[in-house]
Amino acid sequence: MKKRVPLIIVFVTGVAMIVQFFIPPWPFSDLAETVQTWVRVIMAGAMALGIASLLAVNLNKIYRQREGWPYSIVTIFGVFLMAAMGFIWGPGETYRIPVDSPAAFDGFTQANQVDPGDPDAVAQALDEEIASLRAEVEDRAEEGVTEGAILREVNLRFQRRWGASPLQIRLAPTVREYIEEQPEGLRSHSLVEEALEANQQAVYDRLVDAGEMEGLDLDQRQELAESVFEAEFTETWNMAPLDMLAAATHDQRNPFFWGYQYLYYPLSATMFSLLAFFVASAAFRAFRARTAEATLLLVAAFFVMLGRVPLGTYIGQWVPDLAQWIMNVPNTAGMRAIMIGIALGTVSYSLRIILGYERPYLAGGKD
Amino acid sequence: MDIKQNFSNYKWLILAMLVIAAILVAIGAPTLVPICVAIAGIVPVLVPDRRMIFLLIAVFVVLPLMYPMYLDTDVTPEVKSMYDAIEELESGSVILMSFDFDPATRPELYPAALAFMRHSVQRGHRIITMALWPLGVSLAEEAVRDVIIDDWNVENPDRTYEYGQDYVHLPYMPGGIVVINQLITSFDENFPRDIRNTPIEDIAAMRGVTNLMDIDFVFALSSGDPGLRDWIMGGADRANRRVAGAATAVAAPEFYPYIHAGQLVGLMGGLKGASEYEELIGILGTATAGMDAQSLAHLAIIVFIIVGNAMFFMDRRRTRF
Repeated sequence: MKKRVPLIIVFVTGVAMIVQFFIPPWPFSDLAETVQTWVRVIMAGAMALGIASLLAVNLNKIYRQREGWPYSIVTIFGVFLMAAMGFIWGPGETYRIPVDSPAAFDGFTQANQVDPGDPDAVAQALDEEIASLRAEVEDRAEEGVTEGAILREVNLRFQRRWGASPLQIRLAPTVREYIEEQPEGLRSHSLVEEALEANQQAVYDRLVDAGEMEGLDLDQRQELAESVFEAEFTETWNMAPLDMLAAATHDQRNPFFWGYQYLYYPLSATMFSLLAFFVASAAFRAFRARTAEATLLLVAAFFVMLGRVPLGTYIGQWVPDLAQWIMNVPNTAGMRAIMIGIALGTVSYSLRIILGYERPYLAGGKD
Repeated sequence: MDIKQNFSNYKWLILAMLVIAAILVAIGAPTLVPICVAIAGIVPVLVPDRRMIFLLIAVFVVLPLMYPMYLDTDVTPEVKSMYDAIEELESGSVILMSFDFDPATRPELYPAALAFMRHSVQRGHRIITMALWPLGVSLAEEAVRDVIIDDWNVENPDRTYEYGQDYVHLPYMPGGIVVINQLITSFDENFPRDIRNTPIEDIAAMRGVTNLMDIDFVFALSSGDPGLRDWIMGGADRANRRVAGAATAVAAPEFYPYIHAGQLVGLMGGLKGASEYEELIGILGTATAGMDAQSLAHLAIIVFIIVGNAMFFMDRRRTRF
């Protein structure tokens, strides 16, 4: 019974999936959908199983102090660190850090000896500074660099030099004025986000008091308060609340992103790139024309390697043409043979599993 | 340290360096010639063992990246056919980009993603990204940031691409080919929300897309399983969609039978494929710069093979006599 039940499940599932492929209408289509959803759930569960397995293997290694056990500590630490950062900050999320744009404005106007009260003079000084930075960047730019990349670099250099972006400096006087109008507890460049939230809440409360929120659900109330606040704010400050926020803050990537970008990514790429070194070493020490087959492989590799890089074209157009022919004819023929062989093998092995001749799912036992 | 002995042991590698220097002069790229000559003279003294090979490969990879030569690249038919297919699509067509790779193969596949996305944006197509690999979503977001937010939208303020309107990111979905098969039936049942948690029916970029049949073109960036092969089986064979892809250079030969059978519209094989696409769209990026490094690394490996075989045959002849 212990073995018969799994055999029956495998047989019924296997036959049903074959039948649904050839007879798509209901109920087979629904059956396929359901089974495929199960497969996805199981695959998602396999990820948890993978983590459990990783922990079991490494904790065991640490406990028994097997060779290289300190690396296991690093592995487990890495798993928990990244998972914790992901749970706390979420993937791809940014958080805002305040920018002291009024101070950056003062620094910029003093260094350029511009009258802070003259917007035209400030704008002109900004344009000159941007033009000079742009010339610097263009001077060092490589061929093919896009306009967007140049603008990004100019902006970055400006920010590094003055502590705020050109747009933030342009808007700094308005930001300063806005900060000064806030109640004492919110009167700081680092509290602009909080001030905006408080202002919006005030509008919300006012609308509630005025009875304009009656009959609306929570989402509709929020929506109404947001639209009224945005309209009033834009009229008063000549800019939208989001623009005010952008003028006083800077988007910063979260620690999870830094862990991914500056730890995981370079480590993964390093592991993969080590291949180049091993291939070169192996080519020098082991790739020998000992037999006719090895010579054939060596000659093919020689021309494909040359023909698949621009260098081949410099030797002659026949080199990439020959490489292309090798890829199109002998390579395709060989790959087809392998793929057809694999497909036939998979079909026969699957049939053996469905019919119960192979039982790898029963811990590999035949009976 | 017996310097004379070292030079004697490494005379073949010294010769190899000089051969590479001569080839560089012949192709009109003499920037690295002094370095080759310097290596031939100095390295055997400093590193008298096989680490020299590693050092040489490092030099030939790093220096061209620092000082690109922008060697011309020719365009292969499999890349041209993909480019033509995107050109032939009507503006506003829906393109599904599946980021089925992770940072390990990012240097090889990411330039292909950028080149393809740039072309799609230039042509005004709608882009839906998804991932059959967990870290593919981050790479899709990064590609959009590089191509659309930082470049296209800055350079074309009157024709900006907006999230939700012109492009959308769908989340990672485990299951490989099972996911693709289920997309043939329905998109919203498999992806009820995008990565920003917005219901799929509220996203303008998904308008008119109910299942895989509503996708005009599928482009899969693949570094293993699940990947391009699954898209061919599910997207091209079962759903009859036009499918193209990018694969790592070592995996690319596997896909040639599919190209000849018409199941695959085109293929970007490794960095070379991406550099060809950059050439076609007229924006030289990291792939083109990387081809210099790849050219020199291939050249170095070829010379190593020749030198290694020459030594092998010399030794064999010596043993015989």
